[in-house]
Amino acid sequence: MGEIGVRREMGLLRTLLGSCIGVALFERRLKLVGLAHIVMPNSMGRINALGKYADTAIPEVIRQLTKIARAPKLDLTAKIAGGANMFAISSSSSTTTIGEQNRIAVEEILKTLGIPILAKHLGGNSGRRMIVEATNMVVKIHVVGQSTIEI
Amino acid sequence: MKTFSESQIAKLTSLFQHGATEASRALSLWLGRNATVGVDRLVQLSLADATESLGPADETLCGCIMGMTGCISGNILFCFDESSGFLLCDLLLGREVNSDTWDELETSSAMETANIVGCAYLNSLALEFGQCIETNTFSQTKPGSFNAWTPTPPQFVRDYAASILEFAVMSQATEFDTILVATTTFQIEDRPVAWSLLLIPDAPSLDAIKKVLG
Repeated sequence: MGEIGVRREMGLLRTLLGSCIGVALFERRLKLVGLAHIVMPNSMGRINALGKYADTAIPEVIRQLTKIARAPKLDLTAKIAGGANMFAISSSSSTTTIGEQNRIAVEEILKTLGIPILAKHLGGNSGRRMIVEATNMVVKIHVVGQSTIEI
Repeated sequence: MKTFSESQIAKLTSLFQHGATEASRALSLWLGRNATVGVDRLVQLSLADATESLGPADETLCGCIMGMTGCISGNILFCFDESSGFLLCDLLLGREVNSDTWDELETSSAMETANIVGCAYLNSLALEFGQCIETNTFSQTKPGSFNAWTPTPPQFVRDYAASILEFAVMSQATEFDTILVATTTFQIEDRPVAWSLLLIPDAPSLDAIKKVLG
């Protein structure tokens, strides 16, 4: 939760998602990929735990990709997954909407940055294993008891 | 930033051990054989480590989750791998080991176990914490007790360990960068079984608990 990873060329990134959102950013030409596991929509100005918040994690992934690429600007696209509502428990009613809040924040930030979302796998009531491949921009989604999906 | 000091952790561990003792009694009655629930550890973990506190993040686990509301609110999670879960069902149903699918009977057995063990554990904690917490359980009504702690009905899930935990700890994760998790161990007739009971208070309850501990 709240972590960021970047890979170049041969490499995989993976994360397990519940109500959090996994955001994969790709630079196809340079075969770069970054993955953020976003817990909350807004950092409210916090400067630590950058990977935890949508408004800091996405810019941080871009910063790290830019550093690896040594290029001033990248042509990025995105694929996102997660935001499940796994348990309908009234005591955590405020957190059952976190998945939706994260989705809205992520989509808005990507739109503001001009990064198109090529694919989504969101919602539902199951967790997901999200595996991102740098070489071919494939995202594989594994859900327990279901066949693997590529998005 | 750490939420609790070491002395507070030590006090909490002692309180949780009382809860585990009551849970042992309830589970023994439920199973009709000697069962022991013990506090394994009470730790503050980073978000990344918290999601692996039940083992490998992408291991498939089964779990029964109950919410709790009142002076202490949050989630309580009863988890097991599939073979351990089927063992529970076979013990309850008094049959040779042959469960291999999670049908209605098996899931009901697991959920009711979670209900009984979780309620016993939490009622004991509520009494230990004292203050304005009033208790009522489905199976034990204490004279003069009132209802101020209410569990939600257990729900059964079969999913990745990290996904289950992520949801269970989300309230703490929204406020803090570390997660406080209490895990327990189980023994049936002196034989360890791979069941886990996690008590995960939500963020407001952590503040309330800190005030109680001083």
